[in-house]
Amino acid sequence: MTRGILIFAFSNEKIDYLEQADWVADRVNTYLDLPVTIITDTKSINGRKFKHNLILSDAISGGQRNFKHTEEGNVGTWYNSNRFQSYNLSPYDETIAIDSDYVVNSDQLLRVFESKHDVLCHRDVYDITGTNRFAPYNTFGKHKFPHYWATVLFFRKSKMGKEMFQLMEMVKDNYTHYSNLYKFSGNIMRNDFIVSISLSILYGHKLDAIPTIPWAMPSAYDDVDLEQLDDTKFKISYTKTTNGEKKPYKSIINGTDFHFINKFALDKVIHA
Amino acid sequence: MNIENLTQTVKERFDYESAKQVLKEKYEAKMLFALSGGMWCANPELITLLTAFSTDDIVICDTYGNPCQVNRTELLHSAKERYQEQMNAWVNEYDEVSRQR
Repeated sequence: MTRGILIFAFSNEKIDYLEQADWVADRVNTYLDLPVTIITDTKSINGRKFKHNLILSDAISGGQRNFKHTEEGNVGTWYNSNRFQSYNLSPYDETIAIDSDYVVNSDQLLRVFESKHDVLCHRDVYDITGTNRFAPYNTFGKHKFPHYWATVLFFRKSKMGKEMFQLMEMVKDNYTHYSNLYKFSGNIMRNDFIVSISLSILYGHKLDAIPTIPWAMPSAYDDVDLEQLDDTKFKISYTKTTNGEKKPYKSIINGTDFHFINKFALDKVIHA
Repeated sequence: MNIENLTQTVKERFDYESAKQVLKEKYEAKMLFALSGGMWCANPELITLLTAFSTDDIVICDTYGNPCQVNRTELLHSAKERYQEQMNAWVNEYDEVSRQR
């Protein structure tokens, strides 16, 4: 039984996702002791050499987005729509597909492999700044469809695992239809929505029957800053409103994986 | 570092409440372990339940709500061991966080 980590990394005009994926892949080797395969394209590689296993695929765009909501001028093409290829491209029997902004900082993910379920992702997240910025992401669309996170997606090569990714491809190909059905904005393709709808179909639309990763995913929004203090210790900086006044705060993340959405801050850490 | 960043850094207060919450989430996640085909959380509820029985083979539900036949002694031993190990690590890190300013 082979196990490994899969990361999709298609760089655009704003963010070098492949460089981020390479940095995360090094951390996977260190803390999970697992091999990593990065799905990317020749444009992202741009003549550079990487020590991790690379598989080439054509980048599929999910639309244009602003990569930092607090600033203008960060609009770029979001090549995020290849995720449905995970099943066919993964060289492992058991795979965890992670985003390139998921900072592996412990061996916690190894517990996912011990589950009997063939497909798992996070349903719950918590904000590491305590500002509860992810509360609106509990559901999506007018009908408040439960929001599952594609950031960490475990699957086993099995009938159920295969069906999950066939469903993801079908939902992706009919994204406008599903956006009309569940009443959410279909302007930008979101893997979280594709995973949520696919899981719902996979489990016969019985939403309370969907098994998930049994802990909440630590996350930080795109206005949080990051500094690495040592191998596993990171300082996060952010503002919080107390008594009607915005004040700067800091906190420490140590030995905990976290989903860090501010790619520009992550970029600074990689180059520090 | 420019003067604006320096001022910002000096003004930053340590967010004790959020650090405490992060620790709680971290160690609750670390309480999870797999045994006998089930996924378990080493918490007081599981330890109390296992202690309340005297027979060795019992059927209880795991964290996913699936019934599993387990060796009670083996599961109790693993749960107590993990609980104590993680609580010790938690209190150490909690003390460190409490000293942060």
